[in-house]
Amino acid sequence: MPSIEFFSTLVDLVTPFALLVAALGVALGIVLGALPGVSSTMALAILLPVSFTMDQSIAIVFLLAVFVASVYGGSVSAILINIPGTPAAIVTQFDGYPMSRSGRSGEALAYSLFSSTVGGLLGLAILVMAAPVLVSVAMEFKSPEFAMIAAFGLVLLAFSSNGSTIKGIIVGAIGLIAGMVGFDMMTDVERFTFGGSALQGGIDVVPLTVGLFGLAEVLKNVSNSSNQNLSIPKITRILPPLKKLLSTWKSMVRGSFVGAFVGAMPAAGSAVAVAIAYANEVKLSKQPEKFGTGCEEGIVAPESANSAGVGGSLIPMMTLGIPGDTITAVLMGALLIHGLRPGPMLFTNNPEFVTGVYAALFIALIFTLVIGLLSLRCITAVMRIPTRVMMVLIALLCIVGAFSIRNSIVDVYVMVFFGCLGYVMNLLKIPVAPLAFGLILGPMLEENLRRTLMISQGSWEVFIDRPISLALLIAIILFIAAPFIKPLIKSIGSRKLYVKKYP
Amino acid sequence: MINIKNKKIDTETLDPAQDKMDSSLDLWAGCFFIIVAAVGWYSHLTNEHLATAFIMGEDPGPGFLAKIALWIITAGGIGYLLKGSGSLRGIRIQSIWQSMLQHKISVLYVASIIFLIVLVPVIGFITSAFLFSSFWLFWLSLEAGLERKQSAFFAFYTSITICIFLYVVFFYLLNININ
Repeated sequence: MPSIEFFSTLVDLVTPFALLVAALGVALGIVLGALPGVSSTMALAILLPVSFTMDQSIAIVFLLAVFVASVYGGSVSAILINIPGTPAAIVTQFDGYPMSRSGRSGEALAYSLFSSTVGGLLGLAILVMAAPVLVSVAMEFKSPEFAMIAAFGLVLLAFSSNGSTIKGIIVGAIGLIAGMVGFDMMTDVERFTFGGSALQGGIDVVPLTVGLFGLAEVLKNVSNSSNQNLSIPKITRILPPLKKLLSTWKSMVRGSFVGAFVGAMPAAGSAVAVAIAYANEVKLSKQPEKFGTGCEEGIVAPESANSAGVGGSLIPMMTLGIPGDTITAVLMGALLIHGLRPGPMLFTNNPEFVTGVYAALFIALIFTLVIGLLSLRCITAVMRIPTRVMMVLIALLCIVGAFSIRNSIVDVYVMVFFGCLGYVMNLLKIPVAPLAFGLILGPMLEENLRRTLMISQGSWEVFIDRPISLALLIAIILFIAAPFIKPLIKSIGSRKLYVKKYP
Repeated sequence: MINIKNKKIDTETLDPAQDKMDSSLDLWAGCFFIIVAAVGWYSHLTNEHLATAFIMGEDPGPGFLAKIALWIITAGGIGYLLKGSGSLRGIRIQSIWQSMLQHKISVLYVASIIFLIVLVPVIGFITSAFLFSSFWLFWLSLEAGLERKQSAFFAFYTSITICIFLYVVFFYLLNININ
């Protein structure tokens, strides 16, 4: 009876300290998410060290509170100043900002908040129902399947990264190398340490993600860090008429399902989910011309999709050990630090932790609603914090955060190195996220690949003999070949057209 | 109509300015990958332990996946170098230097972070953080159009607030001692 386990874990988790931590996480998440230039990934990365001293269960409450609240926080700046706090809030500004300009900014934020909560709860329900099914399938997996899943995840995540797929795959390979730094787990041989002792402990996922998603963004924004002249509207009425709010339930449910299912696909990401949810609403609406002028459904659908995507993105991470996007990659890094490796074995070895995640997500959603409503009037004050103050504070948080994992100054230098690397890669339009995916999935790929070859006595046929492994292998080949096939088909098509017109 | 359509296809694929920018980015991306690959190959090929490692059964060894990854980076780097080599024509060192100068604040920011890390064992993290944040807040406030005196006050008080926040949260509550 998963529902009984869920409620008993929820009751266990509801302690004054856990609630205080959840409230703190939500408050920080809303503030950071609302600040333009601070993405949910960055918010989670810089607040990760705060969770190190906490118990596993309390840490996950804190991290999920930051995650959920920053997703909602992203819509605040989109609605009030037409600058999305997070990339997934881009669609919310289409109708949120016009509604805010018409003097209904409080209502727009309330629509966003309520739909976020509904979407989050539906996403959680889908996670609770889908995860055991996927786990029962994944329990049949052996080393070849896990090796192929890791390779597939890596290719898929590289494929969907911003910029070129081929660049994504190359960066994924750099991530694999980064994951190999230190001692090899099977032979104890040092790799990529350059003969020194500084890198013998390997590269931890936290300095890498804090550098790539925290410091690199600070470096990008530091030369353009003045938001003094933003005109932030005053919030008057907060709660929208109940009848009007309830009339949007269909959009909320539709958006939530889109968000949860798209979010569950590794690499699809919440930005894709919100775009699909919005387009779907426009298509189904009897008055599509209303969209873009401040219509309620235009806020409700993408926001519920965005929030439902949180639960959805946790499905591949929890069941298969594949991070669905950059935020879950950071979250997975946090779980690894707390000694928990996501994947099917987590459900067998730590079932109480799994229900703890569900309960923590539930608490985070409810707290986001409560604190979000209470802070609606004062959120405008947060928006007035000059970006330059945040950029300095975040840089210092990155330093303390990188240090705090192992109390090592080497990790701080590693963080600065990856910050600079991320900055250069952003300039060259090279996707940075596959680097983190490579670091996380690399050890899983290498361990299972080598184990498979040892068991099969060096035969690669084992990957073809097993149906799931074969299916994944074919999918990998198709995804790698896609960037080469697409221009080929295009050129054949245009040549045919040319021959047809000018025989 | 067909001509217009064909022309449209041409402009989409052969916009000279966009094409030049893309190939210049490809060239730099190729250089970036080649540098990463060179560093990786250097470490891999000079690693004596890899050759002498005790390998069990049919284990392909600790260098197997590393080699595959390095080949991917090398091949990709060469590919992008060749793809972007067209943009080399007409390129001036002066223009490269000018575009690099656009990033001077970011470079200075990184340098100051490294200086901060070096200073930590000497004067402690909180003092170093205060110096770092007051310098940058002063500088960025001037850039944002504040007067010198106003910027100095703003930088001083904000830096004190930031340092108190860091001390209370990380040193006092979380017991993280960076000194």
